[in-house]
Amino acid sequence: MEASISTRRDGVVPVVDVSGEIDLYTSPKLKAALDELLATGQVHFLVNLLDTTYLDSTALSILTSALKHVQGAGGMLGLVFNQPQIDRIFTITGLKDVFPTFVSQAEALAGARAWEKVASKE
Amino acid sequence: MGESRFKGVGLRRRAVRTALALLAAVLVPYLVSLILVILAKLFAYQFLYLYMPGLFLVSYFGGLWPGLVSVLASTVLASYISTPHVGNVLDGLRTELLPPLIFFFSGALMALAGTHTSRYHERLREDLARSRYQKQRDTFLAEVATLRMLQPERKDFAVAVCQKLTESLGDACGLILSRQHTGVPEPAAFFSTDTAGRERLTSAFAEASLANGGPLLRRMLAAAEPMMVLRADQSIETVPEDVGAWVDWLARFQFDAALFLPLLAGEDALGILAIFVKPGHVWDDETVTVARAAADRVALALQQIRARDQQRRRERHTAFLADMMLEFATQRDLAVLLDTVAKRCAESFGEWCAISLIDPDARSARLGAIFHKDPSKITRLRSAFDTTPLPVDHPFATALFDGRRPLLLTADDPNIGDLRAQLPLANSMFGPLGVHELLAVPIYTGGEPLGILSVMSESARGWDDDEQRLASLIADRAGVAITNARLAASERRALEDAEREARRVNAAGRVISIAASSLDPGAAFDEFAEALQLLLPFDRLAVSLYGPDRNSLSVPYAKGLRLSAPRESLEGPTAGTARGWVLDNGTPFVREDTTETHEFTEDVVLASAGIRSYAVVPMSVGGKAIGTLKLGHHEPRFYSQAHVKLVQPIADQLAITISRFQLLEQAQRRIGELSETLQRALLPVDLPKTPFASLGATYRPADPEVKVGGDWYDAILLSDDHLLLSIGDVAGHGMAAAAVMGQVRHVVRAYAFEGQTPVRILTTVNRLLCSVADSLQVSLWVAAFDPFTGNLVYSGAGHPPPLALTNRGVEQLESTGPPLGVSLSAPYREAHTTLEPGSRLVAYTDGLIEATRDVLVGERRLLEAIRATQDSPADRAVDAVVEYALGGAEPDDDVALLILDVLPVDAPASATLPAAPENLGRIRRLVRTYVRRLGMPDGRAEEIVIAVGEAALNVVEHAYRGIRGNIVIRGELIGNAITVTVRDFGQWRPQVERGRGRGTSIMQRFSDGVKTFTTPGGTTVQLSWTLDRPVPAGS
Repeated sequence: MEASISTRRDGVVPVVDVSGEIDLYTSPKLKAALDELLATGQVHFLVNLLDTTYLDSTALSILTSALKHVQGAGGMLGLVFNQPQIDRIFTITGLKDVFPTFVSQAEALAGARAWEKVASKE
Repeated sequence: MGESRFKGVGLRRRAVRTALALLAAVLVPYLVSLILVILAKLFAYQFLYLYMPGLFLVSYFGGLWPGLVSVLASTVLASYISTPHVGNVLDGLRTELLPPLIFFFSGALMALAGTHTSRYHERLREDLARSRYQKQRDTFLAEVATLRMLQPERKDFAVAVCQKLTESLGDACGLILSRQHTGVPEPAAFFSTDTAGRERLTSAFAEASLANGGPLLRRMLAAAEPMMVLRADQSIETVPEDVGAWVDWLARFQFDAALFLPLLAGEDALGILAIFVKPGHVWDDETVTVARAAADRVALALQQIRARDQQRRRERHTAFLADMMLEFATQRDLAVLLDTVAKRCAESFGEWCAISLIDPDARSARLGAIFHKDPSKITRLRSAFDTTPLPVDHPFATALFDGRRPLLLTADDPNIGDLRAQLPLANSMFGPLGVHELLAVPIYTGGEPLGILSVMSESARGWDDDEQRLASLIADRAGVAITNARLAASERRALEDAEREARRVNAAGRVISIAASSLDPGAAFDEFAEALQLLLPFDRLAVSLYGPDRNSLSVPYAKGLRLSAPRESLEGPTAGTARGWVLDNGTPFVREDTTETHEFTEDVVLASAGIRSYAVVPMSVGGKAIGTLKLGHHEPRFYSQAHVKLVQPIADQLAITISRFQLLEQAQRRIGELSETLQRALLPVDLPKTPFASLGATYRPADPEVKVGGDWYDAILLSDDHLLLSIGDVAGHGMAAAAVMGQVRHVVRAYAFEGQTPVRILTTVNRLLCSVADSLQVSLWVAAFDPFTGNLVYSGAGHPPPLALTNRGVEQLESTGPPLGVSLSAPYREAHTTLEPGSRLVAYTDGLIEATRDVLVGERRLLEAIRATQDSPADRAVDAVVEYALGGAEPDDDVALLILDVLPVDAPASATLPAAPENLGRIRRLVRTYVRRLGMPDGRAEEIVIAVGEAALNVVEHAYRGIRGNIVIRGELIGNAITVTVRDFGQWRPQVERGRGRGTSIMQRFSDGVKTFTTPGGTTVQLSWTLDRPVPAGS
């Protein structure tokens, strides 16, 4: 049950690409990546869940905790997914209202640029 | 009997003759003259000379004087006649004187001649008569002397003597003879001319002889003239009493006189000869002389008879002695010997013979043998002996044994009365049993008194020196014989004892050899018990063994040959048992009577089974007791220490056998354990559990003892839940093949765990085997099966391709390369197939199809077997397939069979995993595969996976504190719903609400129902999803 987490920094905002299954076992990788980003002071980043095949509540907790962090710093953490079951997970847990969600990479990048502009305005 | 010539020859006859002669002397001349005158008418002297012969005759017959008278008368007469006229004689003489003178003188001469002639004739006659008399006398005496030849026996001789003497010397004759060594005279014979009264006279004579014979003889011997004449008319006042008795006797029986002559031969007085005459007879000296001569001859004859009798007796004694010596030498049976000796001694020495032997315990002489012609007398003396035996310390006995010579007892002894009063035995003997005399001869052995030889007579027989010597000799020899016989008897007894001992040792040896030679004491126990029974009888035999802690007893072998088993068992603790006592004390134990005590458990239990006595003998090996051997018997006090000694070596041998058997059993157990260990090491014990597939496998080694062989099967669950299957066959069977098999199997496993593909595994193993010289040929088939997809990737080397049973039927998988270990460059390839749900893979080794010797038949049978068992689950189907395919044949080679069932989609799927984060992915995959197999569309399938994932996450995070337990995921169809249960066995810590609500709401929202059951043993969360339509079964 491999999961791979990689972080792209060559765009508008860093993107954490999550592919595979994120569960209790593999979620530390996600957490590590996010923590790393947070540690660098990034407040805006995207988590790309388009290749994620599974998420459990552990992952949700990690994401929400990261969100809290960035929000506290005035940042934004956006999620990108289009899988129905993942959509459903975020819907029924009410997290879809909490996270900015995008259905594609392009959309996500556009959204992220918008944050940056806002941020730089302040 | 007429008058004998020896009777009254003398006076009477002479007177008559003289008278006659005188008469003739006178008459004859007268007559002659008368005749002459008448005839001649003349006279002449010349004619008178014719008368001369007459004168001769007159003086011949009458003597001289009648002759002279006759001459004178005739002369006178002649002269008278011659005168011319008859006238005067004187005148005549005066006329012629000369002629008458001449006539006278002539006549006188004639008369003288006649007288002389007569006297001469008479002398002649007398001489003749004397010589005739002498001749007769000599003849008579010779006849007397030779009577002995005619009648050699004493008694007959005596009778003959009496007869002969009666004939010649008197009217009756009797003989009194004295017994040889006692000198007591007794009547021997009597004869008289009186035939009518003979008997009476004989007995009267006998009486008188007995009474008065002795004194008479003594008197005669004492007298100077050993001869006595008694006359009936003798006055008895003047004679001594005994003589007077005879005189009386004579008078009574009308005898006139008796002549008693002693019979003397040299110094011996042999008896008395008595000649009786009736009145009118007279003896002259001649008769007496003849009688004395006759008596001498009789005495001589008697002496000779006596000598001959003595000689005879000596010879008889010698012969008797020789016979007895022969008897002694040849007769080994003491009882028979003593009986013979008693019989012969009784016959020779008297009427009785008794041999008594000293009984040292009783201190008395007991009867050894006894003989008498009359058996009833034997019985009576025997009972007298038995009831009142002679005590050894009685003076009679001590005198006998101290004196070392025979003792004589007679009824006439003055002391006999005392003896009879002291000894009841003596009283019986001399009293009612009629013994008159007894000769007791001591018997010795090595100088010690052994017994007494007694000969007894019912009359006054007496025993002379010869006989006593003989009896002593016989007693000596008897002593030796008895001693020898006793020695022989004790030798025989010792020999019998030794033989009995040898038989017992043989019997013991046989028992020991049975015990020693049997490998399994249980199997040989019956035989052992029966052999032991011959040696030492028992009703019950039991072997008890101490438990390892030596506190308990088991009874592995027991046999009751006559009595049934005790109702209660004698197994159990050693405390309170005889066997425990034996263990503690290290010595055997013997119980004399179980009914007398309750000391030990055995006493009570065995008594109730009828066993009154028993012996318990320890069985030890190397000085350590391993148990006991017990013999029991229904008689009390049956077993003794001697019996224990007999049984001990047997018990020891039995101990060795049992120990050896135990060691053997242990060794076999160890071999078994070894085999099992080996088997466990070499063969998989448990088949891995995997969802969506079920495994079954069976293994039949050709050698069931060894339990492993060259064939193997293997099924390994790899880390990615793939199954690695292998099946192989090392050439050969037994331990050697198993060893190689183990190595190959483990190499395959090792490579499999490394992640190598089947073909690479084969190639590598082949290289390995080829590099080993003399390696065995190995066939191998390896496959990797993904239960989630049903993909099978396989490769084979020289192994029969497994069979797949699908909905298309039975198909054979692709063939394989050559066996391993043959060629380094052998090309092995990989093949693929997909096993759909509901299909069955059957992998086997060629032992299964070669058992029937015809591979085609075997293959056919295998196909049939697979078809026949298709509905059985894998684990049952393997055995059924093997049974069916073998069809009862015994395989020469090992048989291994492995069945992989791909479960149908509607079969439940479950997995048990440690509740660890790393297993969450596996759980998800399981569920995903399960529901996808069932035909769930992907979206719904993922929702199910998410819901179950949350449930599993809960368990992993919260079910266990500290030590992580298991989580069980099970998916099954219940009704028209898919149900997935998530089960744990922990005690949940209180729910920490920390974003936890999300999981729960995900579970709830992503499923059609969530049920949670919590017990102290764990929690089960059941999630279900209702299906729109039921899933077709078996799809």
